[in-house]
Amino acid sequence: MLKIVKTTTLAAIGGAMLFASSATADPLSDRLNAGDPIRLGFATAIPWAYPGDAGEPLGFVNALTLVVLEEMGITNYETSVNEWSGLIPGLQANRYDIITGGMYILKSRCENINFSDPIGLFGDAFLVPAGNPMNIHTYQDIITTGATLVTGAGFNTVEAAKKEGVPDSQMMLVAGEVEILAAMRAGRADAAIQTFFGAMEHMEKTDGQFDVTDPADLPVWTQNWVGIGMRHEDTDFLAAFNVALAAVIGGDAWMEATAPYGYTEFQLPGADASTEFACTR
Amino acid sequence: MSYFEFIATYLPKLLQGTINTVLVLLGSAALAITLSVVFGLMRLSKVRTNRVLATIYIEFFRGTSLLVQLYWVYYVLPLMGVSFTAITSAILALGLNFGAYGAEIFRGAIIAVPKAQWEAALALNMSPWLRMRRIIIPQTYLILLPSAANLTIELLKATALVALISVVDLMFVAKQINATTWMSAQAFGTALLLYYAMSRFVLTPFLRWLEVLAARKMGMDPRS
Repeated sequence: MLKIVKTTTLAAIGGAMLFASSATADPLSDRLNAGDPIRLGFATAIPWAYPGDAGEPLGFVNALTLVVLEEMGITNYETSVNEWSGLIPGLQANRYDIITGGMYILKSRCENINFSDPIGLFGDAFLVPAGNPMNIHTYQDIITTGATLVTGAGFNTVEAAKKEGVPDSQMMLVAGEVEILAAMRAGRADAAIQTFFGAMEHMEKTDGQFDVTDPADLPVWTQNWVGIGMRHEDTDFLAAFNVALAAVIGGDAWMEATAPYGYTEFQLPGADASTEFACTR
Repeated sequence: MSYFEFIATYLPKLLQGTINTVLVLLGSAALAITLSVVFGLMRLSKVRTNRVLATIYIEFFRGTSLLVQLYWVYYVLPLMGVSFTAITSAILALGLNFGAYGAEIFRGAIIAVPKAQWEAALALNMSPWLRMRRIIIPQTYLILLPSAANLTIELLKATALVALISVVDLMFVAKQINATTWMSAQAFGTALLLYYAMSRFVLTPFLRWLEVLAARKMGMDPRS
């Protein structure tokens, strides 16, 4: 089972230096051209991306990725379900080829992986006990009330909370969405900060135990664009993916595939959205 | 959803995960036993290099966290060009880690064999290898089996960690069910019962049987 992965990076750099104009494709494109399936890596984050009973890719990010891949002529795929915080290391370790977990395009992430053009713009929201007893709507409310705020390790919200000045002593970091809800149910935290979609999912699944605050209460800069993650070296694949993405985004196939998960035209990234800009934030 | 409905719906999936847990257990136990014997003997070797190598191995794998080792094998080795599948990574990390503990148990058991046995074998002009194989090692079974049994049960439960490197074991399936149904008590409760059943009704009787076998081989009453 031992596979010795060739030092393709070095080869690619060397190749690029020698034949700057030659059209050697990147490792992923080569593998796909050879007929190998593309491997989708994601975590369990309903409704963004999660596995079905047989490991099939569900969630709107997976759904729209499949639309893009079909546009590229790729219908052969496999899935890999991971811990959220293991998604980028797993991609770099060549465990799968693209991240369809619904990952925000953030500066710290862009340093490690490439992102496709944005597939949508999303905001965060607080999950609070029903009736919002501590009256929490913003990060500032967390600081003034001294509430304990739970979120997932490696989530964008960790950085956002830090920027807003929430002290570490009030932050509780857990492994992912499941653990966030578990912490809230057990009363270990007073509020959870997560994606609006994630918070809505939690609220609906718990029969009125929790409320979700208005995502518009949070500063605009906390909104984020989501992209599909790829390895730095797979540049040809990225370019081809973006071309196909531009052709199908917001189209009928796209909207139909994502509608069951609550994705609407309001989540479309907008014409001026760019990964390059998102990567600077 | 009642618990019976839950079981009817999800037990097949949980059992599917259990099969992978058993595979990881068997694979890593086999690797750990092999490594225990090899490195346990190396620790007692007259050759200094052997002793040093064995000490480094034992110190490293016993002295660092199993979870970190799992992450290393799964996420870091591929960056150096060596890539194993998730289940192979799991077996490798668990086997290496528990082999380090096992090597110390094995070494201790060899030392615990009475000195007279060594001397008698020497008096019969047995070669060191023959002496080890025919006289010393058979007498270690009784000494090491109780601690080895402990370690094996510990290994069974440690396999739950491999869910974190995306091996679809019992723990992974329980987490998936919890993530889609939010029925935490049922999902993890059933997983607990399955782990307990494996250790109480399969592993423990099997290891006890080995002890009886070893005692009989020594011509002892297994209950004494």
